[in-house]
Amino acid sequence: MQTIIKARDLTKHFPVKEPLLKKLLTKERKYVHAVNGIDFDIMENQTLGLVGESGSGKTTTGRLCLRLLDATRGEVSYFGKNIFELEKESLRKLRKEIQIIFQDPLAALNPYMKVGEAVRHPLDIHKIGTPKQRYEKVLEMLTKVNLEPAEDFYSRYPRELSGGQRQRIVIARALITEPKFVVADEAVAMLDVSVRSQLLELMIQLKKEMNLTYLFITHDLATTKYICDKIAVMYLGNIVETGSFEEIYTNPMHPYTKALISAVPEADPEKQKEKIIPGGEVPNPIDLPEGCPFHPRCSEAKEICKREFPDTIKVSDTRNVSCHLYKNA
Amino acid sequence: MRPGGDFVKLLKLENVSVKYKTREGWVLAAEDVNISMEKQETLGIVGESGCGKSTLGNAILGILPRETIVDGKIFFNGEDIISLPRKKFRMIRGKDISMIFQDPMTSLNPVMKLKHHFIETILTHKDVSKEEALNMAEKALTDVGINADRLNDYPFQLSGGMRQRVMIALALVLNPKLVIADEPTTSLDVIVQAQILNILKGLQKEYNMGMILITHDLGVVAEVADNIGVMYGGHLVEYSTKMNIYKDPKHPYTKALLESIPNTDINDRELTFIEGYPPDLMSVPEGCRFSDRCPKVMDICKSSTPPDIFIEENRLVKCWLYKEGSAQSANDN
Repeated sequence: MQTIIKARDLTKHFPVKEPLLKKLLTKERKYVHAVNGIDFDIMENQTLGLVGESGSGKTTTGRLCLRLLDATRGEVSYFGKNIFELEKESLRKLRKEIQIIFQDPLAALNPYMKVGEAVRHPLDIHKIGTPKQRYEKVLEMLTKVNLEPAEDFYSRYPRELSGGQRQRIVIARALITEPKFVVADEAVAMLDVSVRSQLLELMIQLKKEMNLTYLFITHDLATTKYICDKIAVMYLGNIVETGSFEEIYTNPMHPYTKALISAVPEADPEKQKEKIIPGGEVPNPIDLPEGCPFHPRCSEAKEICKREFPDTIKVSDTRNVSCHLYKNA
Repeated sequence: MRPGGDFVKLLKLENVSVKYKTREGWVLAAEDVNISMEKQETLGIVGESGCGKSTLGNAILGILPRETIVDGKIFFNGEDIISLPRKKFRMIRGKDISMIFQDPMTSLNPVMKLKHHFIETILTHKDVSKEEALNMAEKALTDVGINADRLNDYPFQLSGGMRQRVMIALALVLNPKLVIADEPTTSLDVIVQAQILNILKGLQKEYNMGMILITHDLGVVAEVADNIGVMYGGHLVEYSTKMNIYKDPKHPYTKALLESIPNTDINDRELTFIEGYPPDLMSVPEGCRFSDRCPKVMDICKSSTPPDIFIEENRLVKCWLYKEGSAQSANDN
């Protein structure tokens, strides 16, 4: 199996907007530390789930993987090529192969554009095929996402459709250029429960049919079970733990993962569990705490956690954890 | 109060229907809802977006837009509050019945300090001095785990979780008998959600109040509710105790909904879902609203709306598969 995406020391700091006078008077600039030197690999035809709370840097990571943002430091390589070093023309070509599915389908679709035009747009931009071929390709894609009859949907507007149907269009548009790598950023989060599983099933099916590789970004740990081969848990711009769903869920190692899992409400009154709720609030990403970013809220924090950033410990072939409680095997 | 004193239900809805006027015509957002709750009970109302659950909450609080028609009767402590004059209703709203909204940022006034939110609420209903009101505010804020110093802060200075706690403090400061929480944790992260639910549960006991929890999240109601009502397309399709709903659901929609939520059982990797989409309330299907997605649909379902069928006492199923007083469905073997 080939590595399709490889991120090394990937970092993104956004400058904080400050008034001009303050900028002139002080030398020191402030930054929001959105992503802080993370490493991960995504293998071909696999799905990596990126799980975390809001503000943990998962969306920024997704955008960096597509070079929708430039990295402050570090690299993302796509089949061995660092995407941050690509020239304009080769980047344009790459855009065909890497795509994104957005969270909010109403915001992601132009309300004045017919469904068919929206789905065709990427083909127009990349000048793929003749107009007739494009039309046929769109119909084929609409059928693939189960919007049938496709001709009928082609000439409708997004507002005439339900939330689930709109998200199908967003998926169709992302996949029409036959990409290899797709970032799904909270792709099912906005949908109702009864529709959410439909869309998840569709994404799994399309992955098989089109040989896709997903980076599946979500705040909902339970959905990763169905679609992800591997999960990375993020907290304050760092990956604190990676492993399979089974490993992470049945045996969380990092104290933050333990808290996150215990907080997920179970839809079963007989399966209620003890909650570990960390004290305090998520620190401000402008002034990150020294040492381990989780130590101010961690119940198992030791002296060393306040001083030193924990190394990533390899627990097994599939499992990494970044915490001072563990030592290299 | 009616004869019988304490035996009067805290809240009883009788054939409540809510119609909205829109540019395209009337929307029947809730139809013939019958439900009741005891004092200190937590009633969960679950359903997907557009099922009428928020409409129901707003109808109880009397905060629907003017062009809305509310039919039926809503008894609060034995008194029909729909027929109350506006002025009298205002004395109840905010004091005896209060509400926690979903989005704390839009519900708090951005240019008002927290203390002024509290003072306004308290002085509207209580004849107390400003100092006394401030003391009450301090206590309410400490109850939800926020330092009383924060009363001088503006809403934007707080995190999302803290703002929601302020909303809870505001709703509870006058010691209401009933609080309606409409998706109180939906915009929050899971860890913050767990914090907020803990606070709500604790305070409910302390203040001896009833609570209606309106949510789409079956995990949240499983934790908090005593009884649950399931809504679909404006109808209350099933109502029973929490255990009955989760362990022995009767309505095909409840069954399908419970199966379609992603669970955390590592051995169960099969995704199940309901085909189709929830109905658009502008054009609901004839008969049972779930008939076009129901796996057990019969001819009668497509032509007439099923009545409220009580298969047991306090166990309602709005489905043609069931008969009054019998928990067996018609095509069960």
